[in-house]
Amino acid sequence: MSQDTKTPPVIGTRAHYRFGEEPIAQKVQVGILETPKMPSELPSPSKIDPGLEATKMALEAQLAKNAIAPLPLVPPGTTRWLRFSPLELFMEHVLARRLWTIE
Amino acid sequence: MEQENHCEHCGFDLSRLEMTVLFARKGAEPRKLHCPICRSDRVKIRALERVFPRADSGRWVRWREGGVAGAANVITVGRLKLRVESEIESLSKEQICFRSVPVFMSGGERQIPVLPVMPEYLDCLDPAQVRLAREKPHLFGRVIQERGKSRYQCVLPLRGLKQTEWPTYECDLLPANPFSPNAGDVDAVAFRGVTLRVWPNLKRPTNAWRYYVVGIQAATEEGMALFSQGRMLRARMLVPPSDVDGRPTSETRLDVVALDQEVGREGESGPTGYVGATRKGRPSWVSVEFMQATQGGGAEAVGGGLFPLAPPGDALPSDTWSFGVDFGTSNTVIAVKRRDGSLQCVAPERSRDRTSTTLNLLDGGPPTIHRGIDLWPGGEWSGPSHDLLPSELGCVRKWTDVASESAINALSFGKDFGVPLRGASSAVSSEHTVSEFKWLRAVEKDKSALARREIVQALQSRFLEGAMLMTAASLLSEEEAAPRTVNVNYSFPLAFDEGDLETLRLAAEEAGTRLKQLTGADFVFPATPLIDEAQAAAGHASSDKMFRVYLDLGGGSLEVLVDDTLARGNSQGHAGLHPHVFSSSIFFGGSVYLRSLVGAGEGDRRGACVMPGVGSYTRLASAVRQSQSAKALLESPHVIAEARKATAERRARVFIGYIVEYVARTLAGVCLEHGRTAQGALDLSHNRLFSLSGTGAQRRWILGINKGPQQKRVVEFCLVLLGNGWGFGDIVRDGMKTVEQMMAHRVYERLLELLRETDIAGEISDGEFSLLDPSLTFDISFVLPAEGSHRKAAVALGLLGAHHSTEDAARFFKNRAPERHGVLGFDLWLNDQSRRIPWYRPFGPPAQDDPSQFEVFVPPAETPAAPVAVPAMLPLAMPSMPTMPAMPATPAMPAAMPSPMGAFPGFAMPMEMVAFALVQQWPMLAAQAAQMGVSAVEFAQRQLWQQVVTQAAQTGQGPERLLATQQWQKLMQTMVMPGMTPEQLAWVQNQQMTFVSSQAAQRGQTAQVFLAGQRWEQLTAMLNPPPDPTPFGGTP
Repeated sequence: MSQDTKTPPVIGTRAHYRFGEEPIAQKVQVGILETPKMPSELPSPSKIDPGLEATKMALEAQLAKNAIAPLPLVPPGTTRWLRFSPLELFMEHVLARRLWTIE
Repeated sequence: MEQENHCEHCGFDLSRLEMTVLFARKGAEPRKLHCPICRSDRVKIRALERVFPRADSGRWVRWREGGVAGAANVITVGRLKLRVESEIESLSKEQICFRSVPVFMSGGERQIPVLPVMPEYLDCLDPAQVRLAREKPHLFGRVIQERGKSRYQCVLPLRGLKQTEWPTYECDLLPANPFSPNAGDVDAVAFRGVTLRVWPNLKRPTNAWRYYVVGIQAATEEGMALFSQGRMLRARMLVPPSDVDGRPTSETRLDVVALDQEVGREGESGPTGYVGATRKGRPSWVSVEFMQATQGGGAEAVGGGLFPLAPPGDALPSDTWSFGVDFGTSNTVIAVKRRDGSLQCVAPERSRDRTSTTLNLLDGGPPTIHRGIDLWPGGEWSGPSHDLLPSELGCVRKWTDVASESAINALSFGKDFGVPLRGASSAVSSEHTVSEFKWLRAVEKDKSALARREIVQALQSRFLEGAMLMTAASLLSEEEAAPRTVNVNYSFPLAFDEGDLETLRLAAEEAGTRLKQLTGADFVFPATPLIDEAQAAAGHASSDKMFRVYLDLGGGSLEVLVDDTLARGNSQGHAGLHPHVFSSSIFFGGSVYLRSLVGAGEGDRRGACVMPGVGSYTRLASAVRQSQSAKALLESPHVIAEARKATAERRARVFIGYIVEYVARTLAGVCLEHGRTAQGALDLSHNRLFSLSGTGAQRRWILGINKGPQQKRVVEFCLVLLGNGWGFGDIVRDGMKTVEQMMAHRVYERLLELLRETDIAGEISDGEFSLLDPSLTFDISFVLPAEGSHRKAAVALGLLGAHHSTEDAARFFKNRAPERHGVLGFDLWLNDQSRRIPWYRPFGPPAQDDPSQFEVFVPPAETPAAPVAVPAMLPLAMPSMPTMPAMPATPAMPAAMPSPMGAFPGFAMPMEMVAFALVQQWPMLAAQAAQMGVSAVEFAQRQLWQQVVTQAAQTGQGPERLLATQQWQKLMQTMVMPGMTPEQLAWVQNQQMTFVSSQAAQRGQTAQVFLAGQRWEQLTAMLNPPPDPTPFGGTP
């Protein structure tokens, strides 16, 4: 049991909750920082998609389509936020098409 | 003597009239004669019953047997002559009957045509007798032995003749083998292995049901005698015209609907059967005819006969039916709510005791001839419970050849297209089947020529029409009462975009319109599908775990819904929160795995694991449906090549492994949710893992919930696996008993791993437990499908569950997330502030909470930290004096205690006075505190806090603001000097505000929080017990 919580958590008035990330610009560049760490038994995304090229293309296409959600389609306490998941894009657009390459 | 030619009204004998009357017909009937004396039309002329115009040609005929003599176009009635438009032809019974009649062996018994009459001459029979032949067929045709030879015999009830005049017709039997001599024995010449069937087989045929499919097939090689060389088979159904209510208007003047040779059997030019469909109503007869070519290039009938169908009746009054339709990418399940309220998945002909949905007029036995694509709508459905309807459409033509909305809508169900319940033979190319038409994007991938929204809509519409017809046919094969209305509840995957949803909605609407014409019932599809698939499944069962995680892995998509049980039950501080914590859907269903086994693409066998014979996705999907399990499929040498089994298994591991990763990351996102205050402190008020626990003074926010007799702290996720896609999990169970157990185990392991790798997890804490605390138990459990049910059934059953009729369900639907809402999954970099967004952050619009329902909670005052904690909940913006920012209404004290001094209604007593009054009543206050097991000081603090809350509410502000304002006023009183100018006053205020703000910032608080805290400390400092009274009654 941890007894040394330094900052007491703030749990209370939900109506004034503020999302933990700043709103993002309407036109923003989005990138995948690095190959996500996966469990050892799974081939990493970069093995299935070298350089995550196809994933990035899917990301670009998604950004062009509907990247940024306007108010009120955002988490509470912010004004604009992302409306896509790079993991979902990878699974739908890359893994689904390249599962046959797994030997 | 019987009067034969007289007026039944006045008795005038019309045969005495010496005149010639032009006796034209009106339509297919003779005009009525009127009596020249009384004008009555009740004129009876015997001769006219034997002379009549034909239904199709209008030409007048008379029976040769009747013997009415006269000029070629004159009917003589005594002196009266009736002249008709055309020559009156003579007809004989031989002219209207087949020369020979076939006999069929059906289920071990002989079946012969009831009437030997050619369809074109049915109007030459007596209508009442024709009806009787349908109702009591055994009274008509029969086989007789005559001089050692079997012959067919039937009494012909010729129109207009008296019963005593009806001739008996006799003819030879048509041998099944035209090249073998007629041995004279009926069994020797009989056809075998021939099936003549009608769909549907309604227990009580009604006039309202108007769609029928009729087919005659060779079930076995013996049955191929139907198509012997030297003669041609022709089959037709005779359908009566009907009035506006669907009631037949004639027994003998029938429309002829041809049965066409079944086509679409590539590699097999010879026919094996004929099939036809009608939407005009129940056929009265099916005519089986054998033709022979004539020298002139035509064809003449050499044998045949008519097989009857029992006449329909009016529908019995019935209730409304309710269907729940889970229209899946690969399979569809339809549930029905029975009259007793029980829910059941539709499984036509599930067992031997169930009535067949097909009426066999001739039963040729179990089919052994399987050629081409079988579109017959009757038969068992797929899957272990036989309740899976393949979401596929087969067509006798290549789908690319009917790639237009109008062409698809012109196809006849069960004849030109249908659901291939029994799959397709390997000779049929995949161009004759289309699947995954639930998704435009899947059709784009599979059959790009069909990838237009209007075509996909037509495909969906025709499929829904067929599925509803098959479902209704199945139910009506056992029930007599047909419904007037069928309410069809259906759902949609969350991965649907607005376009997909609109396509499905319009498809359902179209299907409803057609179904009304075909069945007479109103199929009412909701204007919009009310509920997503995961939520539908959620409606089927309740939960006692903190979260239910619905994972619907269908053929096309994976739907994920994390459902907050506490929010659903409005309990433990989760009231007002929408139960859907995350709801997302990805186009990553079981077909992904299957397609990977087929290879790089249709026709591209790179990486293929399947045998060449099952080299298409459609064929593999069909093999999957017929397989007991995915593991058995992998073991099947006919499906997966031996050398490729290991690869197929590895792909299953990757397929399921990424789903585990996706689910684990989603759940980690639930655990790691946090906001930030302006000062950077964590705000966990939206983290669903926190719940309000305890009562009274012990009530507080805790991480997880306390469970069991030991009040163990747990975070619970209960996995509910839905959909057939999980069948592939069998391949990678690795010794686990069920796929559910395997998933729970793997998600648990991965979730904890992810949390341990994430720095913020240690900070997600209630001050006692954190996410990384070993004492905090993560309980990942699972729900197995109910006995007798399966993973795919929950959605269809859930759509009919009472749950969705509740007010909550309507609200939850209305406020659901309009798009996907889940976690990012990968770390992202954004260039707007060159920042990194961690993978566990949510994306997409969340479901809408209902703040008006949020539970009001103020930490109890008895804990020393409570007053401090209250300011800690204040909003984040810095106050700007003198106008303080708006503050939220602070919740009232829970479990209010009895006040020792009563309330101060309507009187805003200075807080110092309140504190003083409390001290004055200290003995009573201490006694009450003792009763409650708290100290007198703590009790007094609570009372004081209650007064703060009350006064704040009376002044329309929060208690923190009240305290902060009072403190600010006290500070200003010490700073403001008489005679100050407004500018000086503003300067002093600014200086003081700057000082307060810096002090507050040092403590990580806002100015308002800081001021309120100062004020509260001053007030509570007053709450000390009064000095002990002086002993011996002295004054203090």
